[in-house]
Amino acid sequence: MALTIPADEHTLFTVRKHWFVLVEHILAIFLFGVIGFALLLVIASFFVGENNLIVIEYSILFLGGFVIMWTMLFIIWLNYYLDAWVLTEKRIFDIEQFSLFSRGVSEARLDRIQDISVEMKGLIRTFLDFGSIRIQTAGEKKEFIICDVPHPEKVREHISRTMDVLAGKRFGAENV
Amino acid sequence: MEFGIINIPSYFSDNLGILTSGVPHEVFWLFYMLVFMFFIGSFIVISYHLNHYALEKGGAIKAKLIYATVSIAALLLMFIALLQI
Repeated sequence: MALTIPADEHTLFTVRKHWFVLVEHILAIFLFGVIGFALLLVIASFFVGENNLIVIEYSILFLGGFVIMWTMLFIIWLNYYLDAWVLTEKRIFDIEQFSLFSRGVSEARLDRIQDISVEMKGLIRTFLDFGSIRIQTAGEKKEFIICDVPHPEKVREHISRTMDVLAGKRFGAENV
Repeated sequence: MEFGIINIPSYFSDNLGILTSGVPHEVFWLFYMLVFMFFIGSFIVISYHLNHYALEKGGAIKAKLIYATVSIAALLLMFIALLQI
């Protein structure tokens, strides 16, 4: 389900979630990793000097754990990287990577958008200037939510301006 | 190191020490193979997603290179450690 943009349209901008969302998930994985490694270290410390073989065996467990943790981090990054919103002259695409094997792409035509609202909840979101944009459409999917987008006010302005340009073109074409 | 009535080191060596000391080397080879297969599987899946869905191609190639390099380095170290047993 790759994104295909019609030939007569161009990508005006692509927006991804705020970096803080990625950092939040990475920190959670690190916390689990640190706890796991610390536990292994505590157990291993009892055997150091007793038998060199055990140290080698523990290093295998450490490295195995590291590869698994590294892959988990990569999957988190992949979910972040493949989640995006693309604005063209006529529509907005919402590409969502739910998990490694779950993905969805939906689109809203700009001429069907009825209302755009911005929502910023919480201390961190206010300080770092990121939040959600709700787009009400007349289409099948009534509400379109862009979550944790950086500078939501600017994104909303950009969408509104593109909508105005599109409406102007249509109005001009109808009057000719 | 005594904590109450439990002697911690001997508690671990008697109970949790079973994780390593009494385990045959074949088990570590099996563990290595499982982690190796986990890496190969993840690499295929991650590559598939990046190739098909990434919006910028350059970024996807760089990401795959970083992922593969770090993972292969860790797997090689694991392999060397296994040869020591």
